[in-house]
Amino acid sequence: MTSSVPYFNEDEMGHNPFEDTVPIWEPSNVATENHETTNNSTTTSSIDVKENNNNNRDDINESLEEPISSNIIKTEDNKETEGNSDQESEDIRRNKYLPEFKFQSKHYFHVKVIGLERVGSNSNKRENPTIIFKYDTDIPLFRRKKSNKIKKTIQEFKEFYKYLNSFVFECFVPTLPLPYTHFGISNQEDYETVLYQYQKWFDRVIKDPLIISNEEFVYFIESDFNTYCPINHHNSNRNDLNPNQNSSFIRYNGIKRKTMKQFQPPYDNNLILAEFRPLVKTLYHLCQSIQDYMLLIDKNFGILIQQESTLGKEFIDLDSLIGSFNLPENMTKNFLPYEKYGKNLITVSDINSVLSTMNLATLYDGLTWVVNDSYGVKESLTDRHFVMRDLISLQKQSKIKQERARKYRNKRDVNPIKLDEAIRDLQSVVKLEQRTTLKLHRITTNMEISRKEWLKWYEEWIKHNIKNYVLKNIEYERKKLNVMEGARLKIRGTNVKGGLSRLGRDHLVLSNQNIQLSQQKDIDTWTTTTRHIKNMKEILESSKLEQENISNSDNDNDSTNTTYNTLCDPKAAVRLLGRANFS
Amino acid sequence: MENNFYRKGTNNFEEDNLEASVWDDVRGDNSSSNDSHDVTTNNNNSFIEDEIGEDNAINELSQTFANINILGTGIGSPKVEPVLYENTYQASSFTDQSNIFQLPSKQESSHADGEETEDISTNHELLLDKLAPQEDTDFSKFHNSGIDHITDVPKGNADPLFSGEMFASPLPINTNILNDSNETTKKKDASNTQLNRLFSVKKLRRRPVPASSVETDPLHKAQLDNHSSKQKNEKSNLITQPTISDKNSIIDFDYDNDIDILRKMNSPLYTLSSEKNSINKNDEEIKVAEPMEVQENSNNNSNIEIIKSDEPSNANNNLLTFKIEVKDPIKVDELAASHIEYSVNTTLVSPQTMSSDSILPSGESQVRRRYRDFRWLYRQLQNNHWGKIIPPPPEKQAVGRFKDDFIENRRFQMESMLNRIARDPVLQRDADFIFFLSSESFNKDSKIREYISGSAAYNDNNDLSEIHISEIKLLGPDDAAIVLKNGGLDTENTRGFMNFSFSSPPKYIEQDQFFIQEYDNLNQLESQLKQIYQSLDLIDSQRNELALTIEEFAKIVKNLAKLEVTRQSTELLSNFSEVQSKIKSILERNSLQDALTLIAMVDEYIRSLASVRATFKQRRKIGYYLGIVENDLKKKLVQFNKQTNNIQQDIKGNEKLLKLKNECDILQARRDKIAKWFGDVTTTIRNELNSYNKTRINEFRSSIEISLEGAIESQKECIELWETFFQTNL
Repeated sequence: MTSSVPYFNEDEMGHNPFEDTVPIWEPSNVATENHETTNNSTTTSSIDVKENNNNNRDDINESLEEPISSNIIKTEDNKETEGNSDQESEDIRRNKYLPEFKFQSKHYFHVKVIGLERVGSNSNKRENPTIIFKYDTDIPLFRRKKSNKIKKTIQEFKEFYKYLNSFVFECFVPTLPLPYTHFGISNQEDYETVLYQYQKWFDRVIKDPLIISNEEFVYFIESDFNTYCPINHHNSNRNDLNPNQNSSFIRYNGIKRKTMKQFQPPYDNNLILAEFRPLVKTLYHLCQSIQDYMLLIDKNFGILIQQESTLGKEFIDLDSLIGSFNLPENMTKNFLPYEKYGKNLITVSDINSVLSTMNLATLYDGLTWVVNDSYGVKESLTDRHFVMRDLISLQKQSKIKQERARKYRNKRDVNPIKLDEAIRDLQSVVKLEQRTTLKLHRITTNMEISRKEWLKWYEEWIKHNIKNYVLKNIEYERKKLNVMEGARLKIRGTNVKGGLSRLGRDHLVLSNQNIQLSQQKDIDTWTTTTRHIKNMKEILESSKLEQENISNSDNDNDSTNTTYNTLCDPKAAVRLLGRANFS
Repeated sequence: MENNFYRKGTNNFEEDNLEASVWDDVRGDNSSSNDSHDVTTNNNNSFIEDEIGEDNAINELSQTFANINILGTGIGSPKVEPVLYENTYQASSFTDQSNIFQLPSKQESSHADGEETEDISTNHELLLDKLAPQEDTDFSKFHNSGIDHITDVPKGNADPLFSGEMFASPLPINTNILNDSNETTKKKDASNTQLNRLFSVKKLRRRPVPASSVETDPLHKAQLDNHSSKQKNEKSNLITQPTISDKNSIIDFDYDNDIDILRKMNSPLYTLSSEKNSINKNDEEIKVAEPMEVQENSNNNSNIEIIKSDEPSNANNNLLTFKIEVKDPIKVDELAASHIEYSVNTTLVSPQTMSSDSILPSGESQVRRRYRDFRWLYRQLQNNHWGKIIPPPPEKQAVGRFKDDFIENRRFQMESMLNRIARDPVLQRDADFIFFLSSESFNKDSKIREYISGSAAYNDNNDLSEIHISEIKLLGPDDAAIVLKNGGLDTENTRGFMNFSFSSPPKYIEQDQFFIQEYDNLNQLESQLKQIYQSLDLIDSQRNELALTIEEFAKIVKNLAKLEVTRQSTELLSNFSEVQSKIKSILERNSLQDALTLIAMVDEYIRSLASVRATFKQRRKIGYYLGIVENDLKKKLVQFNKQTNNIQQDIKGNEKLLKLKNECDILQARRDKIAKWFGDVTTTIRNELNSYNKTRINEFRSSIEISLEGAIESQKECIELWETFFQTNL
């Protein structure tokens, strides 16, 4: 589904349904009072929603109510200038449509994922581990401002995500990372990776004011272990004036969604978002095919590894076979190179198989999140299209109803009941239209912001994964090199004359001790680049400091917390190794 | 030509040994008729008969030897040779005999007699050989090949001394055969070469150059003859004289227009001798060299021969270094037989001495050969050096012969085959090898060479380990002719009416534990190596597949980069994709390298195992022949003993006895020859196996090292690649 071609301005003057000018407000010769009511009703409805949700939380209501109403009044005031919203700075629009940002700037929410528990059956261990985290906040909605150990199962996370995805249209709700990795469950790397990814998820979630200001978030956090299920699920739109129009705020699902997706997307005058959807979609497909190729590589690599280790075994067999023969004079079994080579092959293939797993665990798993997330983003953008579509139909309806109301008005002998009805109809449609328009504005504005966030996240995430991938590769290639050089020594040892290293220097006395390994403490023999130990120390110290800071910030010395920090070490070491090479 | 030759032989006989209806006799003998023997045989026989009568075989024998020796030292007369033969025979045969031949003690005398008779019978055989083939279809092609009969006939007839040569000819053969291999000394070898020279002269009708010399210059011939006998007796190393005669003869012969044809015609008999190699070498050089250089060459050649037969270390010192390249495969399109021709470029690198010149006169050569010719070379070398492990040619392949990588692969394999041959101190001087490297008329001459040696090189079995034992080489030219005429050694025991038997020929059963063990090892090793080869092959293709996948992966990452989601990620991803494609090329290079080192090595190893197996089969086959001949001999001896036990003094009985004795002698000689070969081949194989295993282990180790070294290097490259990427991008 590509974005539609923008209309020409001269062509469709005043007919472009998505111009930021809200057309319903123009033919407002209907009545100023109408106008007033609409205004009020919108405000109240939006408050109502909140009120319904947060019956006993007046404080948040206050904070929310005020900006929204003022916001709308403001729009009314700036009716003329609204036409070119593109030029409106993002900040203004954000302030205009998204009061939650103000809310966010007032409050903080810190969360730290501190543990992961895998219990129960195998599939439960894998699919549904428990995430343990702690938080610290001053958001008034929270009863407990601070907790050191919150446990949530992945299932609960999923429920929460489902809710957010269905009811918070404005955001690209971050998809959940996989609860398991290719490292295999119940090992340290897996533990760290899952922890890291959920931390990342939390980071993304709390960055979005629309989510943390959503009371469902509070429910999610504050519910007891393994009891959470979405609470606003059914009543979120209860107070809508026209129940028939509820659908505009409910995510289409199933066949209806599929059918809707087949239609040409409505014209989008927000170029950035219009272009973003196809981009994300291509990204989604590309990442998927990259994953496919990675799997294919893994498969082929796996076969190769198997063959290599078979070859290694065959070489060892050959060694014992030839060893059992009558060896030529001056030769003993020690002079046969086959077994050493065979062992080398087997070790290398072992390392290769680890590396192959690592490649999947780093890049492939990372891409999985990108794939899922880009799909989520794409669907959110689709939802925006649906809202736009709804708005179009509402605008049409309101036009028709307006016409009818005007007709009735102009007729002298019209039934006053009919007129009333028509006006009431018109009012409700206009109200809904206004609500939808506002919703669309909120969505557009927030998505623009989210888009930036998302791209930032994407960039970071890709980089993070490629970095891990490269580091693992370097680590294991180095291990391989080490094994090979060891084997070379041994194989040379089978030849009294020193084998090929002699290079024709027949009289040179060679001792195998002369052969250096090419990887040394501070330098590789094949390159002039040195690894600066000094820098390495610095890095080590700084990373220690970091860790101390982290542990200091956690006042409570949880056992899990400390273990996490200490367990973090191998990974840090790899990072250090990588960095140390080039600093 | 052939006619002339034999006629000459008969002439000689007539001159020396009176009238005699030689033709009839010999033929009659051959067909086992009861005609009277010619006088020579009679003479000899009676000579022997005396000894038989006395029954004190050994004493008598030694006495007769002494007598004959005195006679023999006199002149190079025809009578000398049996004596000389006996002489050398005495030294070796008795020692050999006790080991190999287990005869009942009662037959001791007859055994000794057998030896005596054998002498005569060899002569006899020789005669037979010469005479019988006249009607033989095998030789008819020589007649057909358009040789000038007329020019030769008078020459042959005009040469009385030639008969002497004729008789002298078996001499070198026999001495050589019977010489204990341990006994070979420098001097002896020298004399051998000398003898070969002589031999060539004596067979001059078959060979262009020396033949003409003798034909045109009887005086030289005589001189030569004298020299040869002198050298034999004195064990001196006089080479110059005969070569001069050679030179003369060549110059003389230059006037003869038929030189080439004659060469072809003549060469067969020449190579029939058991000392084929050295003779071939002579032959080769003469062919290759300009006529004027022949003298030098032959001189050098004999020098080489001397040095070569010396200690192996000496031979190593004198090892020639060839630089052989097989390149420029060109497809030759013929209607039904298009094939690929490769150009074989040879340069003689060192030592740049006179001796090397003789091998390749110009120091380098360039010829065009096809795959079939390499097979020919393999078979030919196999035939020339029984028991030696010949570097094998690539396997045959029916389909896909014109694919580029196949051609390249084959080219590589053939090049390494030639280089391996060139590195072997013995094989590198093989006449056929040199011929292969340098001959311009390979197609014609190779067939002739094949025919002469009986190697059946063109009846090439697909299986490299299948072998053919040349009867000609095994039994010597003369005996072989008879054997071949009767349909080969294995059918010999069923020949004739009387001793027609249904018993199957004795199967050869390996006795030597060493060989049983080794053969078993060989098979195990081969299957293991085949597995390894298969694995390597699989890995190779898998690597390439992986490389392809990585390439695809790199492409798709590149696409992702092109999407330009963000600037930084674009850069990162495109660099990442680049690294991946570099890794892919590393992988490909690795696989190519392994293909060139390990895979090629293992492949060659497997093929050379076939070559090893071939040597085992050669030994087996010879052993099998030995069994047959021994069986025959035993039967004959039993018959003979029966006959001697009830001696009837009438002529008929006597003749029958004589005939039996004759047959026994023939078989005995045959047995001895085969037994000798069997022993030789056994020792050769043992020696070869030892060095073979050693070289193979070393070679394997080297290629493992190379492959490992390559892997290490690409490993380093890989690390460097990742680290650079890391440094610049992360």
